[in-house]
Amino acid sequence: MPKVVYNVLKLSEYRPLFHDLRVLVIGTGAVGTHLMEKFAKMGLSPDALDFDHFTLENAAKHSCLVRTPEDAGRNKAECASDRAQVLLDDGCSSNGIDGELCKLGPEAFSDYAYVVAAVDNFDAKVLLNELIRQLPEERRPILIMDGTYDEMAQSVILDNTDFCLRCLIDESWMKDSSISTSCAGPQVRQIDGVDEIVRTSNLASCIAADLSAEQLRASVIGHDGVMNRRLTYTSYPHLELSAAHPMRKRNCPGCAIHPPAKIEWLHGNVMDVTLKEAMDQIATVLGTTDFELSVHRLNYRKVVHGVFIVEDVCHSCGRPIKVMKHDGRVFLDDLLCGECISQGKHAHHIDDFSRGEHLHAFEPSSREDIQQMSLYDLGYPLGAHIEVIQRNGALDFLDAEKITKTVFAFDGDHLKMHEIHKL
Amino acid sequence: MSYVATYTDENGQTREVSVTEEDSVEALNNDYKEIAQKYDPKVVTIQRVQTQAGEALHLKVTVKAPTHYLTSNLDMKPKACGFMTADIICYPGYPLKSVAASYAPDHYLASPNVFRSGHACIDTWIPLTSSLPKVVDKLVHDMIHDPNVTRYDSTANPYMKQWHEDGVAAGRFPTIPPKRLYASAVRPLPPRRAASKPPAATPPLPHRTH
Repeated sequence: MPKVVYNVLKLSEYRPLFHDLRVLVIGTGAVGTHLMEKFAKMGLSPDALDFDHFTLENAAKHSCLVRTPEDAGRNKAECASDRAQVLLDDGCSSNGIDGELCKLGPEAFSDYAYVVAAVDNFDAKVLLNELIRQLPEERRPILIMDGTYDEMAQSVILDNTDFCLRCLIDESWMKDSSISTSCAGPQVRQIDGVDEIVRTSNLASCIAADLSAEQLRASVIGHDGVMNRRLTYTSYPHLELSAAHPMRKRNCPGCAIHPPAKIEWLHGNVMDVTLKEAMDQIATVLGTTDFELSVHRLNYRKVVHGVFIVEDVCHSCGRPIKVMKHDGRVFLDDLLCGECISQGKHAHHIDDFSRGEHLHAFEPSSREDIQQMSLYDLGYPLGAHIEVIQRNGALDFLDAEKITKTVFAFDGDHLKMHEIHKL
Repeated sequence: MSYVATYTDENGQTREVSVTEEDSVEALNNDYKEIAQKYDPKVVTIQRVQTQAGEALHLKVTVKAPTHYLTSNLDMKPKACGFMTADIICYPGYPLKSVAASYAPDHYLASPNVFRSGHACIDTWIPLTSSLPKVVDKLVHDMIHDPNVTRYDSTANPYMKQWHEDGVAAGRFPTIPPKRLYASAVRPLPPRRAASKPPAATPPLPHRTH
């Protein structure tokens, strides 16, 4: 299909400012598809991330970027990016990633000027905030979070100076953070004691995307009073558009997250570099092989996953099985032996067997099959901050003065975000 | 880097808490000091041993008291012995991250709450409620077969349940009074400080001036 050639004389005079500006849209559903369309037409380079697939039952909410019924069943991010290709300016690009946020680390966001959270659950928003806060300020993108509630639409733009994304989330919303939500609160309300899903239309989603796009536009042009503001659209009968300055929350756990004091750079990217190759690079930087890599710590859905499972037991018959996965990527049904899988048995939590071999750190002396695995397969996310500990003869962590910790990251991770299609 | 967990207070309110690496080391230090002073060293010894990769603190806790052990995952016949040692490992991120406790697989405690692999079953880790001193306390009580800490409703080794209940019914368990595990509550007085200089002689009264 031929690409569109726009008549720039009929478009905004500020359009060159947007050219090739990289934006990541997390969640390409009702709001995200509208955003992808607008960003492509504004002359940006929008990438998309989503693990979900389009369904016909949701077709009434999406932008016309998604074709009905042809695109039913396609991954949302890949599809939206694919459909946006013809709308992009020359020199711009768009990449759709079929993946989850928990497979990304802080450095994955460092190549983006803006990151838009158009996701519908608070767990993902809390994780995104943690990842962005771990990035040093000079590489931290501007965040935009939007959503709908009934026919109301909201969008917040923040640069993490006045408040963080976590400040905008009420603790009471976190009780059941897996339920569908928007930036305005859980999308479930109680009517006569019965939970009822809050209904919203394509109009509200479209306006939420409009508000986000307007905030991005004004921020790129450099208007005063744009940053750290919340825009709220209220529909009839109280039609209104208002702007507010949200406040920092006291004792906010999100604001307590800070980037490492110093990051040492390794060459390559998490997807391609093996543990052995990474160890060699780290040994060169540190000048010693006496160190260990902490297994990646993933704090998601109120659980900290921080072990690499080498062996466990079949959660049906109890026989030992080889797992070789990070515990954040293991589901209960993964813990079945071949025989139980072939017999169609289901895994269940069992109490009368203890766990198998679980690692909390990797060493240069780790077994060979582990050394040959890529860091990504060992559980490190793309863009990971990898913690390396040198004990220097310390008996344990109580000998704190002897222990040194260094954070490493890969210099190619941020670019990989524009290439990969599956995480 | 910091560690984050969800804390539920006594009113059922949940909130997210985070600790820094420095906080984590301080918590380990405080809790280690607490358990190092808590027990009678003639009965309970607590020793720091060399940590391995990924570990923050590794303790060997030994109880010198009559107890029973098993020698393999197929062994169902408890044998009497005079001591029992458990390894307790804390990981970076303590106290938000759980500790692990285990016995030697060929000399592990005969208890309904110890897996046949030798791993001790500790209760679900609740951040800022569970702690190293509580885990150590449960283990040392379990090592003398104190039924007050035994969870019969959630057995890691169900074959030991009846044996344990029989021992309690016969009055054999606990094998020693639990209070003997602890150091005397009355600590010795600190040594008297040496006088810095001898007391000066009382000066004479001034003369009457009129």
